[in-house]
This record gives sequence, structure tokens and C-alpha cells, in this order.
Amino acid sequence: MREFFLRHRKSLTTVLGIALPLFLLYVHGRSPRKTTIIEKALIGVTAPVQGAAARVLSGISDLWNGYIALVDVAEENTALRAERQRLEADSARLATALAENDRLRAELEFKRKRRDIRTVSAHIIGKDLSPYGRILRVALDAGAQSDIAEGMPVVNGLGLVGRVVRVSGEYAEVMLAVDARSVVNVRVLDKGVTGTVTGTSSPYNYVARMSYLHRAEPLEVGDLLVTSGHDKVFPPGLYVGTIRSLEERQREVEYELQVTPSVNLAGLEEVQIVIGVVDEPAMGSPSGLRLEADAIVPGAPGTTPAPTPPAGAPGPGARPPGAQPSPASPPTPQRRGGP
Amino acid sequence: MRGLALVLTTFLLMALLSPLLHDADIARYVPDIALVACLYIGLTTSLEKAIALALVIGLLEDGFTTGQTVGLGMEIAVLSVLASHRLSRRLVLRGPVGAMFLAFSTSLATSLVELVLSLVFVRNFTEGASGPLVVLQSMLPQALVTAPFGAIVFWLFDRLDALTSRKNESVFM
Repeated sequence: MREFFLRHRKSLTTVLGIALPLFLLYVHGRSPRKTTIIEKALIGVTAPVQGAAARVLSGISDLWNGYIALVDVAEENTALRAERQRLEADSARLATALAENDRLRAELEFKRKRRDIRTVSAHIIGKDLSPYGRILRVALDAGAQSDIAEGMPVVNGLGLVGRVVRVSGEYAEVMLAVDARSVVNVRVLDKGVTGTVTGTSSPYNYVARMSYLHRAEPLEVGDLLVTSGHDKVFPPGLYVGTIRSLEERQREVEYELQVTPSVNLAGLEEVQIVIGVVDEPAMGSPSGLRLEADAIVPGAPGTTPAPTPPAGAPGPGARPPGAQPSPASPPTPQRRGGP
Repeated sequence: MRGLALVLTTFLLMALLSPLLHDADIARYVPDIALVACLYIGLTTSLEKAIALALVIGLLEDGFTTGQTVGLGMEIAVLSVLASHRLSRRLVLRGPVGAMFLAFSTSLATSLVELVLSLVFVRNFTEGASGPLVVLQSMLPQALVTAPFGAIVFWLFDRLDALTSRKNESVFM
């Protein structure tokens, strides 16, 4: 027997070598079946080794990529920094453009709604600031050449900004509605209360005060104030501000309330200068507003002569605005309120 | 001693290769290290030892190859050893090109053997009709990937043999 095995050793080994895998293949090729002990043993042997190998290689790879293969990192870093700066600049430009777009849309909407007034658009080219950063007055890039005259109201999409106080060539200066010398006749929207809004020239914030004699209806914080047009300077129906506080105080026969301007004076960029009015109804003006198109007449005392309407503009009903003194607004402001 | 060294080296190579290729993002086709090792063993070892080593290496390959039926790698390993052992009597293999050519041609052949064995023994091989197609589609790329490793593994095992035995002959140089 032993001799047989020795004599046929190669043949027997070959047969066994071929038959054993075929047997295992037959056993494991059946379906369905459970995991065999051989498979479990194989997994037990190979899985830990393969896991360890994967961890070692991963560590080597991390070491290489994170600490050694950094040849291009500095260059890439510089490029990425430049790219980031460029993107930040683009982002800032985009934000500026979006803000400008919003402002111009508001201006356009204002012009669409207030077809009864003729305006000239202008950019803010200069701002006088108080030591506390508050804007005292602004300069515009439109002047006499654009038919701008002293006393003309200045507005934007949000409401009243102020009035032109000086005109020189292609430039004009605007006194803000919160200036202590500014007096605007107003009425409380939807309530039968009229009065005047006077600036405070506060060095800290943009606040005005409303003076009135009689309160027909109770007022509330947030009540809208619009120009009444009684002063013959400002067209009626322009937003002036909102009531900020109901803590009224009595000054002689008048009562006073604090008013927050409707316009964000700190963020002014573009404005409209009202150069005339036409006999055309306003669209979408504040509810309850009655437009008094004939209330503004040129050449009133204390104002500049009426500007000549440009060729091709408004029809026979067009009138440039002027400052007609009214009982509530003296023609020449007497108070000198510095910031 | 030599056989153990060869098996352990093959085992380590198989364990390292898969994660290495995965890290290098070329893990679609993995070179058949076990096949190359069996070819070397068949060329340089006596038949009985070669078959025994092939059974172990084939079993390990079955363990490393996820989803492969146990016995398939063993059978292919044994057949590779038998083929290369028979070849060693008729052909003198020298140099890396010869090793690469041998690895390439036997890889193609073993793919066909794998296909036949799978069709015969593995019951669910044709389920979904994707098994045979996968084997046929990967046959050539697998052989191309395995070929360079033929030269590398032959050189490595030659060095190993030089360390573990006083062998002067080399199938590689």
C-alpha cells in the first residue's frame, strides 16, 4: 500500500489537488445555503489582515498627501486667495448693483404713481456730515442747467427728502427735512389732524417733530404723515414720516410729537427733484389723498423764480413748484439749528 | 521554509493590493497575484509541493475575493501550477517580457476556466444573466493588468528565493 502511494505519488497528488477544489466548489456552489465553516474561517483570516492593510495604506496616503506631497499647495493657496478676493469683489459689486436696482425700481415706481409731478433725477455727489456721522445736507449733480431752482422739493421713492436751498451751475444743495430750518405742512393720513413737521437738527439721529393745535382723532404710533400741500411748497400726498412717540409736550398753544422720517437719509444715493406739477391724477397715491394740483404756484415770496419747463415736457397744466408761504410755514426759516 | 515564505508573501501582496489600488483609484480590475504566484511556484517547485502550495494560495484567494465561491480559486490555482509545471519542462522562461507574456496568456485562459467552472458548479451564476458577461468583459483588461505584475512578482519571488535558499537558477534573469 505504501509502495503504491509512493509510486503514484504525483498522480495521486494531482488527482487530489484537482478533486478537492471541485468538491468544495460543488458544496459552496449550491444555492441557497448557509455560510460554511470554511468560509467563516477564511473571513476570519483575511478580513483582519485586509483591514489592517487598508488602515496602514490609508495612513501612508494621508501622510503623503497631507505632509509630504505639498509641492503645489503654496501656489494653489495663492491662486485660491486671489480667486477669493476676486469673488468677494464680485459679490460686493453685485450687492451694490442689487441695492441700486432696488432704489431705482422704487424711484421708477414713484414716478409711475405720481404722474402729476414732473421730476428731474439726480445723484448724491456729496454729503456734509456732523461729527457723529449724521448727514446735514447733500449735494446733487443737477443744477440750473436742469431747470433746478431754489425751494424745489426733493423726494425719493420713500417720501420727502428735503428741498433745494442752493443752485450753482450743474450742482445743487439740499436741506434735509430733518434740518431745524425745514418746515413742512403735513396731515395725518386718514385722520383729520393737520400740523407742521419741523426738523430738529439732532446731531445723533434723524428725527423731526410735528406741531399741531387740535387733535380731531386720537393719534397712534406709526401713523403716516403726508404733505398737505397747504404750504404751496410741497405737492400734497408725499410721505414725510411716521409718528415715533406719543409723548407729546405742550409748547404754548401747540402740541408736539416726535416724527421718524420715512426716507432713510443715511442711505441716500439717488433723488428726484420736483420741478413742476401737471393736472393729471396720481396713480396709487395714499388712500384718502386728494391731490391739489393747483395748490403750487411759482414765484411766491421766499422762493426762487419759477423755472422754465423744458421743451417737450408737460402740457398746459404743468406748473413749477414754488414756496408760497402759508400760515403754518413761514417763508424764511428763522431757527438756526446747527447739528 | 521557502514554501511558507512564498505563501506569506503572496498573502501580504493580496492583502495590500486591493486597498492600494483603491487608493490609487484604479480598483476596477485587480491583478491576479495568486495566479502569478502559482505560475512561479509551478515553474520552480516540485509537483507535489507546488500543488499543496497552490491549494493554500487558492484558498486564500477565495477568502480575499468577495463573492467568489470557495474552491474556484483553488481549482484555478492548481490548474495554473500544473500548466506551468508542464511548461517548465518544455520552455525556458527568461526575462520580464517572458514573465509578462506568461501571466497575460494564463490570465486569459484562467478567465475561461473560471467561466466554465462557474457555469457548471455555481447555481446562481447565471441569475440576472450578468455573471458570464462580467467574466467575458473583464477577461482582457484583467489579463492586461495582471501582465506587468507577472514581471514584478517573479522578480520579487526570485529575490525571496535567493534569501531563503541557495538557489542559483532564476526564472527571471
